[in-house]
Amino acid sequence: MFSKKLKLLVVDDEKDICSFVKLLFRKRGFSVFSALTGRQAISTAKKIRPHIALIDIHLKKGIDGLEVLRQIKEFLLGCRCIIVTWDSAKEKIRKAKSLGVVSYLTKPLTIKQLIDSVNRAIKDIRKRGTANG
Amino acid sequence: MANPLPNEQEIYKKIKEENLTIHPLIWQLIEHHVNNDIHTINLIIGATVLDGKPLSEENAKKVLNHSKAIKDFLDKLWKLTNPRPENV
Repeated sequence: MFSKKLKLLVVDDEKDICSFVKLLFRKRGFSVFSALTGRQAISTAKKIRPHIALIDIHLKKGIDGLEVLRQIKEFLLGCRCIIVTWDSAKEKIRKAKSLGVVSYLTKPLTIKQLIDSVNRAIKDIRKRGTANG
Repeated sequence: MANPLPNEQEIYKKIKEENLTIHPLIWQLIEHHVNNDIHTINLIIGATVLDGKPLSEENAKKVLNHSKAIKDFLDKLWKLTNPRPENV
C-alpha cells in the first residue's frame, strides 16, 4: 500500500531513548527521525511530515510534549501521535486525548508494548489512509 | 528480581488499612527518575535481545549508567526524607 517507507518521529530529551527507538524501528523498515527539544520536534515534523510521532511530555527546554502534539496536529492532522511519558496524571491524559492522541503510554514500557502500539497506529493508517501529504 | 520480604503481605495490608500515602511531589520525582531510567534500560536490553546479538560493552556501560542514576536518585531521596543526624 505504501510505496515509500513510513516515517516515524521520536521526541524525547533522553539521547539514549532516541537512539534505541531509532535502532528498533529502522530495523522494522521505518525512516526514523528524532528530536531532543520541543522546537526541534516541530521544525523536524514540518520538514519530514511523519506518519507516526512518539512524544514525551516532559522535555528539558522550552515547550513541552503536549504543545508539540497540539502544533503537529494543527499542520499534520493525519499524523498518529503516541504519548510516551512517566506522567500518569489524569489531567495530562485528558488533555492529550482532547488533542487527538491515539495512545497514551506510561514509562517504563516493554519493547513489545511500544511495538504493539506503533503497529496499531500503522493498522489505523492503512484502514483510514494518511493525511500527511 | 528481589524475593518478597517475609512480612511483605503484612506491610501491604498495613498500607491499605492505615491508608499510608506518599506525598504526590515525592511520587512525581520517583516516577520521573526511576521510570525514565528503567524505560531506557528496557529499550537498550530489549533491542539487543530482539537483535539476537550479545550486549556490546558500550551498551552495557549505558545500562550501568542508568542503573547508577536510579541508585543516586534513591540515595538523595532517602537522605532528604530521613533527616537523621547520621544522614546530614
